[in-house]
Amino acid sequence: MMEIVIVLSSAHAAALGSVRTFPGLLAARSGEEIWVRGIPTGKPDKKISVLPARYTYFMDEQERIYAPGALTPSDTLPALEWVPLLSFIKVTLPVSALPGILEEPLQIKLARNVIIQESDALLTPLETWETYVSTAPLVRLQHLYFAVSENSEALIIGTPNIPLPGKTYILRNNILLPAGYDFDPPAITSLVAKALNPVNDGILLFHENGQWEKIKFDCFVPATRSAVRLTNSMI
Amino acid sequence: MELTNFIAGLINDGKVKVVSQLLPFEAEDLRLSTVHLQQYYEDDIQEMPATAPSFDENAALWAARYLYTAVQFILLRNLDETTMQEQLLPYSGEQTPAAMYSADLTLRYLPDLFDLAKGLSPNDPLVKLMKETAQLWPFSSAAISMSESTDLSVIFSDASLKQAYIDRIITARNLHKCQQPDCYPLVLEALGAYAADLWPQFEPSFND
Repeated sequence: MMEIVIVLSSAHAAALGSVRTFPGLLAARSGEEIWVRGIPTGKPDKKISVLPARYTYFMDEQERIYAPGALTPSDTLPALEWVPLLSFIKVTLPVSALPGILEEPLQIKLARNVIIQESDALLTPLETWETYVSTAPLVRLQHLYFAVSENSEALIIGTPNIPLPGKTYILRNNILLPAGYDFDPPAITSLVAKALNPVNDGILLFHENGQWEKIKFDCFVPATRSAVRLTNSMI
Repeated sequence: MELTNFIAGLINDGKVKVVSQLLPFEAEDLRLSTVHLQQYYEDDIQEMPATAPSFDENAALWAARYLYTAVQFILLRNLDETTMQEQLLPYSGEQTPAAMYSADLTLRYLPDLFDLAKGLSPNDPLVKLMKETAQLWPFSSAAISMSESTDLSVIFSDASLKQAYIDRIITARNLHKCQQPDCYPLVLEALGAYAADLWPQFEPSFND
């Protein structure tokens, strides 16, 4: 019964790693060459076909080797120390790569963004907010929450938001970014959220210059007329 | 202090008690009831749009007594129709925005009263009387479906009542009332460009 024998350069030993678990394969080293035998004839596996073989031979049961297409043998199989390929190619664990050390912390910056999105929040003077709430339809308020700062600015959050003058914001990962801006690069959004808001107990309000402030969730109250009026009367 | 306790229960926890006899209210009870209603009015106007109508003591007290007596008639089924008509008298004063809003402080529970009376026949004299009252006080019956058209002139004469009425029919998702010619443009204005988000069923009903 015929089998295939291939000869590879020692430099290509690593290529045998892809076939080391194939049953019946034996390998032996001969100088700068590696001999592999036990490959069945017919249509070999694709992983064997792509091996960088220097020579390929057919071998009969008497271990006579033939060049492809030749009717007479060109040689006999050299007497080598054949071992299963599984033992010939040893598995080694990869070396753990240590994380790189950043010499300087990354500065969080915002950059202009051309994507047009509907706003999720609005920062407007409390007076403006109260005037709107006083006559606004209830149905436009029922989805909104608001918080008021000491300098009488109201941050109104929820969609659909309201058409009032003020700064509009887009909400992502509990971060409010000024409309028309995004992080530079945008992919750091989730990292910023994890770093600056690890317990996720509030909303980060970013300004165009990259400065930010955290507003805890319990500072927000439902946007009812009484809540806005009473808030305004207390400030 | 039957009426006072009734009003306090209604406002504070939505649970009320009535006595099993039709007895006139004591003067002190009526005085204290008025104090309660006035206080409730002061709290309630914080939720009203624009500037709420002023407090009308007579209308507020009439409505509270009416509601109390209506609950009694729902529970005391041995009382006859004549007694009912003698006791559940309509409001005798002028229907102004102030009266409409002050009466609403307790008449806003009229839809719940209909729920309470749902075990009664639609032809029951009490149900008929309550429907008449609901028809006369449209601000309080925004959530009640009524086939008859309602006079909204008093409501629409006051900016605060008008907006609050539109809020109520939208909150009740009362398509029939929202479709009324007087209300439709105001409902559209309230929903603005977000009708599909805020009330998806609203617009398709007009395209049918």
